[in-house]
Amino acid sequence: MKVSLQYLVGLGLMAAMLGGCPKPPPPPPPKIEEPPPPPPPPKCEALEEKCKAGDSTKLVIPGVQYAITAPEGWVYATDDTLAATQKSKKGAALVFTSYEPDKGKLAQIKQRKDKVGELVAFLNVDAKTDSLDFKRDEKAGDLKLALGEVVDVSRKEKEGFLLLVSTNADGRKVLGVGFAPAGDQESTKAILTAIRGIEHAASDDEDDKDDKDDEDDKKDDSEGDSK
Amino acid sequence: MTAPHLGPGTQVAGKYTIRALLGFTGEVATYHAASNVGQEVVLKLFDPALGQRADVMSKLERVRAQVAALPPDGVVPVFDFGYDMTTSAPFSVCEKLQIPSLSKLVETGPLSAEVVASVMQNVARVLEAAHAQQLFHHALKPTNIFVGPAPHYPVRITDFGASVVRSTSPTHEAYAQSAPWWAPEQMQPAAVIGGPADVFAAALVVFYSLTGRSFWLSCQTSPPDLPNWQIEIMGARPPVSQRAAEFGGTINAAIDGVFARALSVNQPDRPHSLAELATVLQGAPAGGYQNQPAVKTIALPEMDFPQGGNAYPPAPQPQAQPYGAPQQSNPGYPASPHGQGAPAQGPAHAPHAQAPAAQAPAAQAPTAGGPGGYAPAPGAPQPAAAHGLSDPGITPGLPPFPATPVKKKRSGSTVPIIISVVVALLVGGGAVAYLFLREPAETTAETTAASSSANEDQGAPTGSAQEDTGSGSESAGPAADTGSDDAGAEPEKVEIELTCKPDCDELLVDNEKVDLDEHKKNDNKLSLLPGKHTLEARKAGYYTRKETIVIEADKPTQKELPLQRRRKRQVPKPCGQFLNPCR
Repeated sequence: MKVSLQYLVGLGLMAAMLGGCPKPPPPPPPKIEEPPPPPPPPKCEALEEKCKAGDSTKLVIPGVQYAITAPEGWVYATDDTLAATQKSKKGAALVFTSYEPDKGKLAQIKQRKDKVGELVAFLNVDAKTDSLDFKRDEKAGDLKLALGEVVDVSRKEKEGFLLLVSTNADGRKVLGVGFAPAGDQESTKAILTAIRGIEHAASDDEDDKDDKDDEDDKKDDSEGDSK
Repeated sequence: MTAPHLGPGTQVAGKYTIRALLGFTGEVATYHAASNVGQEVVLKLFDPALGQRADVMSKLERVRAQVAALPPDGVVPVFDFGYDMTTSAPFSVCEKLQIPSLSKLVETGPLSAEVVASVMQNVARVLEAAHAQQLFHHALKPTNIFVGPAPHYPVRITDFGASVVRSTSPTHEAYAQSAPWWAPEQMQPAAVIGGPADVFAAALVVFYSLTGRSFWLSCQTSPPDLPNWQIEIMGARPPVSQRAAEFGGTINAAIDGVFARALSVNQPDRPHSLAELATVLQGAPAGGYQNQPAVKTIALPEMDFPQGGNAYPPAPQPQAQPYGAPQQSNPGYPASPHGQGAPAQGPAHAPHAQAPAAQAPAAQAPTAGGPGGYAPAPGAPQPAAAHGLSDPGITPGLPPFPATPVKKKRSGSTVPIIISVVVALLVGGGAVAYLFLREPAETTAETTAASSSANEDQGAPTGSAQEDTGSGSESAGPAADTGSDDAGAEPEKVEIELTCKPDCDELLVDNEKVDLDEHKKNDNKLSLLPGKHTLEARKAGYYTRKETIVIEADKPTQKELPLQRRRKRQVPKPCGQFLNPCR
């Protein structure tokens, strides 16, 4: 009898172990985190943002409705006062600005000299800009450009040449300064092409707008047809 | 580098064919050329190195624009400008004038005061129009003034901008040709040079026109004695009437005053307008010059070919006797083609210089002359037409040129004999007088000797040529003429205050170095024996200055040696990369 009791207790315990206990809960599903929002597109307001120009990146010159095409592959930036593009920190660079002209020819000459000084400083170029000679006239679209060149200049110890360009647009003075290292014919050509290609910025906007209108029209037409 | 030297037949820029060289100054070669359409032109080829200088080319462009804005009847505008691809030389092209230069006119004899006054009135009109636009000539000389016919003698002035090239790329040739017409400030690198330099040059041109001689004694030879010229130009000048008299001519003393002002070393002292000079000349017509210039001056530079447009045939003189001497003494001045029936074949003139005979109706007039074809009657005043302004080959039917009568040599053989006799008498007489009067004369010299020669007193800046003054200078050796032998005792030394301005690095008195520290301690004073002493001041970056000073006994003297900074060699600026790319 004694054995059978023990036997029975053992059987009971075994039965309890085998079928009497509740099942453990399943592990929680892994948490799926929402992907972070994509970074905002660069504003391209500083050259440090390293926005690279495509094959037809237009830089609108602040203050006027005119734009230049940045040389392909160059870094560019525009803000409220400047439109700038450069090949590298020590290499070729081009910067444009516009300003309200002072009254009086002499005042304007002094003002232009000051502005050239500002642009030259922006590009970190060492140049003597005491006497500027805008001696050559060229036409670019509907603009009459006055061009000048300063020799014996350097950008971060790299010697080169400075191209100056001045024109009137939308009642303001537009001023540009380009630097090309000595012997860098490719950059020289790129700067000259950019300057000579200065054009009315509104024309592109209008084209875009027209394109958009066309697309909207097409959309409307197709929706009408399906109905 | 220098301007390209091209031979006849060479093409320039594919559109001009060189015919002859007219002039060469190192940095510029002037040619007579013909365009592809047969137009006769004067073509200037510049040193190719100048083409690399954006600053120079822009200056030249500015001058061209300013000249183009002047009345065209007074100047000779450039009508083509560019680069010759073969030589890489910039070139400019202008009209070839068919009127003679003032130099050519004077070559045959000095002009009358009335003619010179008319010419200068016209020169003044042109230059004052130029000055009004801040365009200064700075290279005015008789070869750059072309004179039209009587009665108004209109002038056309060439070579504006020559000074731009000259100052950029100075050459000895250009210096030797131009310097005798310079104003003193043109020798000074830092000086502001403006209209007064043209007034100065115009006064020299007037003197030359009236006398056929350069005003400067140092420029009576070719090439001129430039070191002495540098001293002379800064020194005291005699009145022009006196200088003319020295040459055996006469100029009305009434114009001395205005000329003294015009030739003043100080720019502000000069007349403000050229017209003032011309007006004074007009008011004092009784000038003139009586003798043919015996010595060829710098104003008549000897070149292989005559200046463009200034070679022209003299007029035929129906009454003239054969007279060959002028042609011989004036190579480059063509003999009349009318007398020969063919262009003269003078050795030094270009074929273009001849006016076509077809333009000269009077050329058919019978002449009694032989190959020379023109001449005044012996002893008679030189006919006006000999100056060529009334040459029908150039200006048919114009009235004769009223030149100052000029005596021609009567014979080529008697004059030298007479001169030789006179010279022999003078030399002999002088020697006798010296022997008899030596002692009193020397005593006088001792007591009245000037402290220094007039030229030296003016502190003449000197050019590089002065550096060459070696120890073999004529003025070396102290007290050579003091007559101290007569005194029998050592003469007392005289104190002289000697300074350099600015302070010199080395000071030599009679070729012996002065201890400058000691000299300063002594308040720049030295003790020297009376008599002649040579002084030499040296300083790095300055021209060496050498002078002779005469010290009088018992008369302390002050002497300052002004030093002139050396001209810095201008290093060409690098050319541009955007607008004026380097070639």
